Amino acid sequence: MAAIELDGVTKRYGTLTALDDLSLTVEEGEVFGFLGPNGAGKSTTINVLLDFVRPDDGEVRLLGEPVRREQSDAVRERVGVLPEGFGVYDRLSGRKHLAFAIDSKDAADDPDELLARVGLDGDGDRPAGDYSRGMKQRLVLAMALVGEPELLVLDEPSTGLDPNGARRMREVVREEAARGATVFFSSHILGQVEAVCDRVGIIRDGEMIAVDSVEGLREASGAESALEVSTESEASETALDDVRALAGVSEVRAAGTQVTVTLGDEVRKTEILDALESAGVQVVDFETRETSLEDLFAAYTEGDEAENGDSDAEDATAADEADEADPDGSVGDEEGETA
Amino acid sequence: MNSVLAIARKDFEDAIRSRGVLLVSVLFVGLFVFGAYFFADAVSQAAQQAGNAPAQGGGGGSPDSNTFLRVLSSGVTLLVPVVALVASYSAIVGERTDGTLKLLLSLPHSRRDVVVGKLLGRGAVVCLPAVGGLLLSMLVFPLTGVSLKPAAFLGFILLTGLLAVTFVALSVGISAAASTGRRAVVGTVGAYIGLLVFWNQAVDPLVSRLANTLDWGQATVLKASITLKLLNPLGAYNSLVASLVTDSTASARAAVTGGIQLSRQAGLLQRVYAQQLSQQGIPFYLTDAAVVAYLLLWLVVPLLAGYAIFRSADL
Repeated sequence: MAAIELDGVTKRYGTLTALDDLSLTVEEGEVFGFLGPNGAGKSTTINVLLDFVRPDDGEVRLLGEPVRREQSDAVRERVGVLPEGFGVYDRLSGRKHLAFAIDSKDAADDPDELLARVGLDGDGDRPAGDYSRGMKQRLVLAMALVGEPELLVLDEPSTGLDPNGARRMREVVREEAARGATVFFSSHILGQVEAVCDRVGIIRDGEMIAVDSVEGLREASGAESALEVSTESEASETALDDVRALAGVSEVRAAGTQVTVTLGDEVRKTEILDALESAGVQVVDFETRETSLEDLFAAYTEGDEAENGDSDAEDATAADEADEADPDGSVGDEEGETA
Repeated sequence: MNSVLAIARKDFEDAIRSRGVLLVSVLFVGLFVFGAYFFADAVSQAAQQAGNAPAQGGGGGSPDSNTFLRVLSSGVTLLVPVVALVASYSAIVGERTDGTLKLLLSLPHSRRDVVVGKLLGRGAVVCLPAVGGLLLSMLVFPLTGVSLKPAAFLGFILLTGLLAVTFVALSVGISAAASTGRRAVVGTVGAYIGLLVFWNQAVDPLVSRLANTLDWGQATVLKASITLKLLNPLGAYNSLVASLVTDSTASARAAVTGGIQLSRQAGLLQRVYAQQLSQQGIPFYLTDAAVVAYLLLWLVVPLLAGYAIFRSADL
């Protein structure tokens, strides 16, 4: 049984198509990262899953049960949700929020334990209205964890979290996955998804453009990720060779006091820095150039075109664009093509 | 725990932490208890000055707690619905606009649970101070020597609670249907003004037009007019209160003809209507049970309509 199944889901808001014939399957027990820029349709997908909005077309199944309005209660008890754009009850304490979630799910969790898990120990008795954005995010994550759900749906869980909070969030995701839960979470930041996911789905303009393993994702994006190291003096060839010898380093280039290390696979940045230092090169500064989501889209969409022979469609779009720019000229073009 | 009860409890706990609810509680308790005290004080002073003063109220004899209820009911008719509407207009749309509805629906609650839970939660928030205040005011009567009619008083408390819950239901229904807070405000204010001011004004022209076209006799006109005014929840409440404090169902029904307030000017005309009505006999649709049913319609129909719209809404 799949934890989440979307089959040909379309959702339109007026003339805007938020989801365009979107199909996606998340298997039980996997950690699935749902990646896409803001406005790509991530939240709409999750809203459809949770029955906040009804799709115009297509089928949605949660833990094997079709999502229909007012009929998914029993299933919901097995799902924990951190929704996007939520608010908290300002006057109620964090503990009251958890008590409400525990009541609602007929669970027997200990609120203090949950508070500790998300790093809110000591803040449980304060009204949630006094919490910072990140604390509210932690509180609602704790609410999602109530009742050991089989499926966790987390919409942009790292919003408003400081690096510490984001790390704890990743820990929680790993713990839940280790317990056997399926975790589905969305993000517009590649690094967050990469760090914890088994598989990644990439959505753009309401369409899935790729579903891949994290290895596949790394391959597609690997060449783009690099470590820039500034050194005090020019690095010697031996030092560079030491770095090249490290596992996961695919290319090392040096230009003056600037060393660029391309990371093909997972490699600890400290190892590279250590290797340089022990070869007698003083490191002044370093910077990681992360693969941008746009780079990744480029990597996948280019691949797609090559595979599917989508170039015809691409040409048509190009012609359309030209059409707008210069109607007379391209009308002639089109006639030429049809003839 | 049951989903509805979990929501109702959460809603109640949230609401009692707001300053507005505290204010309303003080207002209700103060109004009812001090109202009873001043009433009893005025009665005993009047009795001392005039010896055997003529009866003020309808029941005959000296003023008792029923007379107080007559006086109080006009105030309650104005105040309780306002408090119920203000306390509930944002019950659902407020959660929708500030995002807490997402928390609520992320938990295993259906939208129906939300609507019913809100009705119970807000109903309790409004009813507890109203009912508590009235119960406290009962204690004033034994202390001041004005006679207390406990059955009628308890009936009044029950009816007032029903009135409160009815307006909470109306307001929650509007709140469920509205997609923005502004619409909920317009809806609730419109509903209140409409019921308080325009409903009864519209009834008489409507009935006389119907009477002309359908060739109704005077008796039918009277019954139609009374029935339509009883279909207003405020009219139904007033007429049911009148049932408690008078012996005659006919005069209780006729009480709605003078507008919603039992003013003295309307008294004479009402007595004429009551006589006509009792001569013809009370039809089933003007019995107390029917009037209770009219009130219950207001509890159920707007709530169902609001739920139907809320159910199909994209959030």
